[in-house]
Amino acid sequence: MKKLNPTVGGDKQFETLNDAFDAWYDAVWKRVRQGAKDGNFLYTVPLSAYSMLKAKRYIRNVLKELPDYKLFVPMQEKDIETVSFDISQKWGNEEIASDRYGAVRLNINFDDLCLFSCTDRAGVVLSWMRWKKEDPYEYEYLISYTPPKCYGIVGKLEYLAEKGVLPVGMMTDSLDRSYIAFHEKDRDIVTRVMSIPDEMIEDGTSVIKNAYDERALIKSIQKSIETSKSFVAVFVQSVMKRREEPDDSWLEIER
Amino acid sequence: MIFKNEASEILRKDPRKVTAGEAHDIYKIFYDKSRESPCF
Repeated sequence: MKKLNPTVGGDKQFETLNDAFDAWYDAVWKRVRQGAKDGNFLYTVPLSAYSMLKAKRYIRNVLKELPDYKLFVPMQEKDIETVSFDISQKWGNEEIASDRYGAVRLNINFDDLCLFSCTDRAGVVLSWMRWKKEDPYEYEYLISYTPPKCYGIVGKLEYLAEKGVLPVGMMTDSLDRSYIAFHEKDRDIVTRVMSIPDEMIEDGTSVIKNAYDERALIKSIQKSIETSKSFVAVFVQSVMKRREEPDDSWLEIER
Repeated sequence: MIFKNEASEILRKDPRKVTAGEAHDIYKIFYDKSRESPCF
């Protein structure tokens, strides 16, 4: 087929192109609104950087109706072995991003995953994953500096990792919502841990001292992470204990 | 001009009849244009 090249012209030509795209994405939105969930036309939808053109309102509607993932960061590379994508980037062969609808596909069945929202702490989750993959320089992003202590989500992920439960990966969709994905078989323990409010963990986490050198600072950060993880363990155990103790109040009523 | 002769023709098509190659071209033009047009 013939190759199209974008033309760069004056304002009038730009307006004409802008109008043509407006009409195109209007037609795409109408198809989606009628219930279409696949088709080549969906591959024309950008996942980001569309706010500069008139068509943005239609594109936004399509993405609200059919959100797609624009970033996937797997914990283990094997999970993306057979990913197919076209316009996308890889960083260190471990992270995949795409600006185009339908360009990233995973070799993981979504039915085998359970997702937990981490939009507020997406950067921390990403840094934790990189840190676990032996990137020691990521530790500074695991720390909140007001006050200086490790984020609650770090303690949760460390606790789960100690139990052998690692996330499958982290993903961000076209509406900028981030999720951390675990295997469905781990849903119970992950739900128990993730339901603990971060603030409760952070309240019990040790403050990082102003260290005089990097080694001392890392030691202090490790201590903060350890106390955070211990606090998660205590919380989980107390919940388990409460579940094990039978509530016999109904027996008294029977008597 | 390429846009007037070809791009506009494709953009007027029924979305159901667009090929994968045409979809790629539409996306690519839109992607490039959105980056060179800070005024909208």
